[in-house]
Amino acid sequence: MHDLVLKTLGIGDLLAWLGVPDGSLVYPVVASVFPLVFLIIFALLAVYAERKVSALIQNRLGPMETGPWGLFQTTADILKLIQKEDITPKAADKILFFVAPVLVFTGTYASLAAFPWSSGFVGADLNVGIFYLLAISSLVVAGLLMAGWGSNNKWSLYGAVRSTAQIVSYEIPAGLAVLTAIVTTGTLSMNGIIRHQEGMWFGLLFQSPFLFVAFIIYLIASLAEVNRTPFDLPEAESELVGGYHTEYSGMKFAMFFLAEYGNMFIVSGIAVAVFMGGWLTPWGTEPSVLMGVVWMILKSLFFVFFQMWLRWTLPRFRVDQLMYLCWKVLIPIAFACLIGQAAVEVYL
Amino acid sequence: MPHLKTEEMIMNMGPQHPSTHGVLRLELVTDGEVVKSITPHIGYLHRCFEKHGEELTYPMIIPFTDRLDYLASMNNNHAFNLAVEKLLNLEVPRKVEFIRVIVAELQRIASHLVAIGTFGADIGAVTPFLWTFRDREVILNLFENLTGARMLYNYMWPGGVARDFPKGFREEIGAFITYFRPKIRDLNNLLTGNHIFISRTAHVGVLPADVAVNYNCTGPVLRGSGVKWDLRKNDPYSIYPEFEFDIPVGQGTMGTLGDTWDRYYIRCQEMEQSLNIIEQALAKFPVEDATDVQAAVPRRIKPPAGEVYARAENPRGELGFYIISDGGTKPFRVRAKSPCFVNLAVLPALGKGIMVSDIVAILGSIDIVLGEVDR
Amino acid sequence: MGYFKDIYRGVSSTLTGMTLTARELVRPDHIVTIQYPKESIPVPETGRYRLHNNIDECIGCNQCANACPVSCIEIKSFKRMDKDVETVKETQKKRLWVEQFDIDMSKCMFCGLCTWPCPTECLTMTSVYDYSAYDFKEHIFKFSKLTPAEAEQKKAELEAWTAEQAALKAAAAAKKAAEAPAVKPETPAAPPAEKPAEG
Repeated sequence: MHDLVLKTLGIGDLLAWLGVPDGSLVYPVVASVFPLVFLIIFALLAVYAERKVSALIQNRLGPMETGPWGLFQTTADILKLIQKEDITPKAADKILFFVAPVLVFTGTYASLAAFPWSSGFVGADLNVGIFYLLAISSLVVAGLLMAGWGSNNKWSLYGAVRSTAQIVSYEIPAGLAVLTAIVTTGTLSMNGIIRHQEGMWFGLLFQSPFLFVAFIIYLIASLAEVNRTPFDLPEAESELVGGYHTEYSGMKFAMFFLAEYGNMFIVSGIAVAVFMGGWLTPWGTEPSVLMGVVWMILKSLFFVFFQMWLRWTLPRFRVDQLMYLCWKVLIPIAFACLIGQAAVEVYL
Repeated sequence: MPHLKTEEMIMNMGPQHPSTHGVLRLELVTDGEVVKSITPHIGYLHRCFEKHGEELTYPMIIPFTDRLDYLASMNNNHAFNLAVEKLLNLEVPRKVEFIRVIVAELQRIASHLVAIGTFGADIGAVTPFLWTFRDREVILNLFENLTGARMLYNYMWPGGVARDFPKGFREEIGAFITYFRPKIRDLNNLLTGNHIFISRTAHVGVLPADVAVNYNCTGPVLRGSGVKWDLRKNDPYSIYPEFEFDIPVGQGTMGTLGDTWDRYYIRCQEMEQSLNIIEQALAKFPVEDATDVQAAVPRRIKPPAGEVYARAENPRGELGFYIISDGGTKPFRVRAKSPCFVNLAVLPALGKGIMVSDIVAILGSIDIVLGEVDR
Repeated sequence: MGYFKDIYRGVSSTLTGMTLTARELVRPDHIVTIQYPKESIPVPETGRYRLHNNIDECIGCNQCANACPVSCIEIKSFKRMDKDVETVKETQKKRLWVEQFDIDMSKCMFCGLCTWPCPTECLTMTSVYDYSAYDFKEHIFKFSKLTPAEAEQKKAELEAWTAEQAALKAAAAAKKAAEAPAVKPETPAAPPAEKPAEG
């Protein structure tokens, strides 16, 4: 990845100009630090945006004190979280308790490796890119389960078990929905999928009704995968206090938070890349590398906003209804879409 | 897989829990997500109201009644004063009755708004919670204008009220009614009709009418089961017989009769009925009447020896006060029949074979205020 | 067909809800909250917040302390000399020195019952509501203007004056007794002999 990052953003030139010798360790370090920095900045802004969106919907002001319109509120929050004492409950499984947030964050961070920022700017344009993304983002489950079990708290355990059941189930409709698109594109590579959508208005979305429905299904399933309302059962505040992160505090809690918002961006990014033409312009032309990044981020941000909008509108499902929705509604329809799209591909 | 052995787990829900509505502790026996039994443990907010009552004169007890069901202070005041007035055989001026009915119904709306909002928050919808609190704030501002306090009013006194309506107050209430009607519609669109909300609440926690009656449930909990019982109609007090209003009862519209959704929707409908009552009361208000609202308040309240039970329809059900007087300025005994306490008792009956998420829904629909449960 | 109806209802009610929330999202003028320390909701004149006693008008009658359900008002007073008795609000006479008038606002339950019996309406609930403190003791508000030294002095004066008055009274009585036909001469004659010795 580092080559690409360095080339496209001019960081490489900058480093070379600063006198860093070729093949130095500085290059990969810079390359891997970039997604991290992006994640942190995005999470800071997203938390702020979420608070503002919820505030406006609820006729409130939201954070206003720290910086202009409270812009630095989340920065201050993070600074506070860093300073906080790192409490590990006495009865907790120390190792699991420590590893869990790291693992959750690893999943998010690793997803960015294959994230198609722009035409020439994708960490690793794997030929199984989308497969890798779907797989690596499921790493979260293991982390959440560890967190819930390791906390040795009954509420946390509930949250962990719920999240496992939920994320594993919703992988299926999400995967099927993506598969519907892949039937059309014929490639698993992220940039391949996006390039296939060149010349299409809003990508694959309006190409066939099956793809449109598949997109909706992916959107719903992705909400469940990142534990957002109406699928926020694992951390259901009014039922499970805090769910799997009840016992977490300080920086470990911040890692969960960071991962949650990072995942929001990643699932939105996948939705955009697969169904909305990724870094292409909405009218389907190929922009410059830099503008590609802008389009990609803008489109993803719209879906991040959509997730927030939905969160402050809907109540929460119950566990059995969650499963009903997945297995009896989303999966059959996703299969129907897949078969329908396949038929379209074969006969039209 | 019936051969798989599962183990039951005992969970303590509360006393520090976001949706037990205060310091209530529920001991749950769970098998996975399924709850086998619920045992409520109460008493964390016990403040000896009844013992306090024996040590204080009648007017001094009124601020303590404010603090029973702190979301419906006006209604508590009303019930207690009904008891004292019955004991004193005191005639209340007509204007005072009008003022009392108007503020009591406003308070009922405010209380139901909290009930609906917190219920929504329990189900996971946070926005309706903030919206209902926004509207409740308007009522609280009105009350602050009238009584000087926002929550614990100490407004009604035996034989009168503390202050007359200030100038322009009736117009302000009228403005509130016009403001509030569309907000109920919004609320119904956002929450009541939401499919997820309905699926979370319909068929959940079904309370059959006979069980409700056997447990002596009152208020929206009883009416949600389809029993038409409202003290404002069935045992009229104050000037309620002069107004036309309906008693909404559960219909089982979305699921089974007496389910959580029915209990919830009763409150939405009651808010509209309260608006109707207020409108009628404002129209009939004796504007010309220049009676001092404190005129009938006795200087010294020293009722004759005797005992009395008076009850009123609180937002949460029948609130009754039982007073024994020994002829002194302080009551010999004061007892409160708290609707929340009685309604909470039905929770173990409802909480068998439900899921953990249903507990918060059922508890929210019963709408308890721990200040009154524990007294 | 309940299955598809369910899906339809789910989608349509979600869209209804989203329209509603979007409507509020784009209406910043609907914001109802304010930034508290910078701006605040005006408190009406009737607001029942911190108690205030206008000690100049207080006659120390103790009625407020009697009306208080939580006994948060503590009053200590002693008699005034006749020459010090003032008239307040035209009808009420200040016959007492209020040596101590303490209100413990941390005990107060803001019921306002104390303000109603006040004959001179000097005890009022003001609209001051923001007076948090780090120590409970800071919530005991003292209203008496008399310093302990002054109070001691006044008490001493009062005692002297009382004795003087008693002596005068006794003398007058003795005089009266002397003028009157002496039925029982011993009784009125005795006190004047004792009292001056005490003073």
